Amino acid sequence: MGNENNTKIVLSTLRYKSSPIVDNMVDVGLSQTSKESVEFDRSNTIDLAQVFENERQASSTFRPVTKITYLFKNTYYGQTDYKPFTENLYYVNALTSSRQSCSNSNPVYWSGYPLYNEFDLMRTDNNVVGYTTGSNNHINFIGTSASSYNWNFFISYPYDNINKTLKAVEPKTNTTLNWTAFDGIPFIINASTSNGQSLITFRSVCRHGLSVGEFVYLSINYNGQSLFQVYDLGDGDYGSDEYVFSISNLGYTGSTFYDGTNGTFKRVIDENNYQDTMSEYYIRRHKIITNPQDAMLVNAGFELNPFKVIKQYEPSGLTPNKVSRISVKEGSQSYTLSFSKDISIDDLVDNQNRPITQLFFTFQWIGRFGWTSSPTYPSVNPYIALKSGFDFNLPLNNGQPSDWWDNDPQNLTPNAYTSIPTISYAVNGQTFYYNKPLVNGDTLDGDFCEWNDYEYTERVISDAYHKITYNYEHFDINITGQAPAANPLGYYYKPHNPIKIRDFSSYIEDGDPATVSEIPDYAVFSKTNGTFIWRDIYTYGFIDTDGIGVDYPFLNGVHYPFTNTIFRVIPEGASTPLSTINTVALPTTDECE
Amino acid sequence: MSVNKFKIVKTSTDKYIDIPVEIKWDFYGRDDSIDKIQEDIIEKVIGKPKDFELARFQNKKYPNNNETSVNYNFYFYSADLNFMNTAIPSYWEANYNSEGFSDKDIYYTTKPFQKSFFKLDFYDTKDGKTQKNYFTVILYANQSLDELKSISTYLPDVNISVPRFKLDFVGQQKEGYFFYWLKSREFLNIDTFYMSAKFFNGSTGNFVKMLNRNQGSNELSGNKYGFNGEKYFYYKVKLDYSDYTYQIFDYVNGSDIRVGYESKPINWYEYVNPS
Repeated sequence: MGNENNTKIVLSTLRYKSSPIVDNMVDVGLSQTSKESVEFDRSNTIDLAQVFENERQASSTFRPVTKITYLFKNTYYGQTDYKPFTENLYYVNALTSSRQSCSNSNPVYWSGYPLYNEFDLMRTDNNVVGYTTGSNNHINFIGTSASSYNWNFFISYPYDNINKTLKAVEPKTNTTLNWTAFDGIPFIINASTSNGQSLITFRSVCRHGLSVGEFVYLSINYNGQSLFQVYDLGDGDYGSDEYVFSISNLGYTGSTFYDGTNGTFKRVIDENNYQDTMSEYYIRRHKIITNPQDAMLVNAGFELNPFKVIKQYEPSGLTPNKVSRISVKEGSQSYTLSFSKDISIDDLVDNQNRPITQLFFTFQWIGRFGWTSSPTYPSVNPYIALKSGFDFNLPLNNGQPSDWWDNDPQNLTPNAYTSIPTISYAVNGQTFYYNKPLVNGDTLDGDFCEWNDYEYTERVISDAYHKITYNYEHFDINITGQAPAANPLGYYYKPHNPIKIRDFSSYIEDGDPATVSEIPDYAVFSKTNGTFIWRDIYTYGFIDTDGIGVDYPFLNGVHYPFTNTIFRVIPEGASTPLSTINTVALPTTDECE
Repeated sequence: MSVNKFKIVKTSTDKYIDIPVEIKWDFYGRDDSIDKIQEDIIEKVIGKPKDFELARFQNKKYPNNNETSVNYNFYFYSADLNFMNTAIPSYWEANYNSEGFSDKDIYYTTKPFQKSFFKLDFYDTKDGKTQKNYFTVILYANQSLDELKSISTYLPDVNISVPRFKLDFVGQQKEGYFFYWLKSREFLNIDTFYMSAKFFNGSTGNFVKMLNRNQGSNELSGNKYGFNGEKYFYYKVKLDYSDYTYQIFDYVNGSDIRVGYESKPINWYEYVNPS
């Protein structure tokens, strides 16, 4: 038997999860080391489907494509005295300003919304005299840069986990919670009751991911005990199940569970092996693997978003340069994004040292025309304007942006800044700033995530967001004449948008290396089970009964994964002039009027 | 195989000689080798997957300015054919009138005008006998730039298409700006093409060839019909695979001179056949 040393006998029940008991038989082959070779007598059936399948499974090169539905609501109007900007607004006070300019009253402020081109994914204003061309223009427009003046587009993948100090305001108690990502999820305690049962309720600012019966490991302890079982979820409010959980109050004394106590917790699945089944928490860090010029953005044929184009005619008598034009406030064009560079995932592993299963379309706000990126705060070198936070930093607090975004040096949150420096340029006697484009190899922080070895699953707790604010020196949205806000309103966008290229199985495999062959190198050892555990990676083209798996075109020896991306630039507030709002007048006689 | 010396002595009994046919090689691993050869042969028969993906090549930014557009001007012979012997450059005009289209035809975009187009062919060589046309770009006549002209004494001037094109990355005239060619050089390793132009007249059904010099120019005035076609029927197009850009050159005078920008457009002149 020539291969006797390579034969392993695995007990049938250990071969796969839920595998049945079957008899094993070993064929003892009386193999020869030679056989008669008959010349001209070799035949082989070529199965093209099998050949295609083999090539498909062997390929590790990708050309990801996405259709971007771009949603942007132009929300803030403001004023500027910089001529090229003044002449390119969607005016809200054209009549007043033109009257002022006729009466020679100074200064005359033309107020309005920046045009849609200032935020569109691809600029089309390549031929605007006094702005992108002509004398005293703001920028000499380069046609090939049309799709990179405002935004840059990249492919990235999560490659590392980092710690970060975080901050959020719990909305119900209006309490500011400070914690670090590695510590877990923050909470604040509120006593409550449910059906007569005394409970200790924990409120969080992000989705806790807990189920009733699971356990939490608290950063505080009661007589040395930190592990408690989850008794209930939610506080009766809609959607609170995801943010609120309770443990039974078994008559705990002392101040441990006083109202207002805050700390952090980690999810635990098995109390008997809590260290092994406890979740880890971290910020996912992405590595950029393309350059800006690799991205190819084109208009999507016949595809518009569902919202109408908002535009108005600006008659020559009501513009500062006496030139009539049509100004567009909001557009509806959708785009297709692809890359000239092929993405090879051969040498890449993700932040959990697993093979790459998803890539990300990463968007970066550039703002090359200089409307954004205020230069005042912080006075650090290089100056950074683009901020980064999470969706728990998005809600307004008392009508103002969360302190996380504050520019005031007294309240600065260093972790709220991205690592992207600004670049300045001077034109027409003024200085403008824009964000330096990322390049291949740069890193950018991503989502706040949870990982559990026992479940072998990563969960996004809170999406990462970037915030854009106007440069108040060139465009002041605070037109009431007050000093510039230290924490101005702005726009948020989600920088990392995933595309699935492979999928992990919905089941967990386990096996002992002594008895099971081919345990993948990304398996983790479970002390609870005493075996290695992992999830298989489904082959390309296979989708299981739960709908998990991928099946996208394979041709030219390359995979063509595709996804739809809804890219939203979310306004934090609004500065809609009251005159433009149509309201129903209150009845003056009775309600039947 | 070693052979011993045998001495055969005649006796009354039969003798037998054992001739050892010793085999010193073995067949171990031969099966694997045959399987490998079989795989290689199958791969040769059915082939490896080839990459036929197209890349989008855009015009490389011109040095010393920010211009990225490609400008084409087409000129048609407007004088009587009898005057060809004494033709001067001004006989070639940048309008469609000499092709039989009136300004009204153009303004109202009549069907024949709508169906007229310029065809830019890209060949691997300039040798007309051996060249292959690898790809083509179509520029529709009604896609061309406009000029103000009068079509009625009772109406204000209106925009009339003239055979000039300013193609760019953005704007209305994008069609034809990008060249789409194989991304991989493994299959066809070509980075230089020769571009010729023809105008297809939707009114007459004829087409006219175009030259990079007009037959009234100093260069061709002495030899209006017997000139070197390899020199005057083409512009050279170079592809740069590192950044997926192209550049167009005039090579008539022996050196490559970049053309296409606004002040040095790519000029095409109708070739007039001998009458």
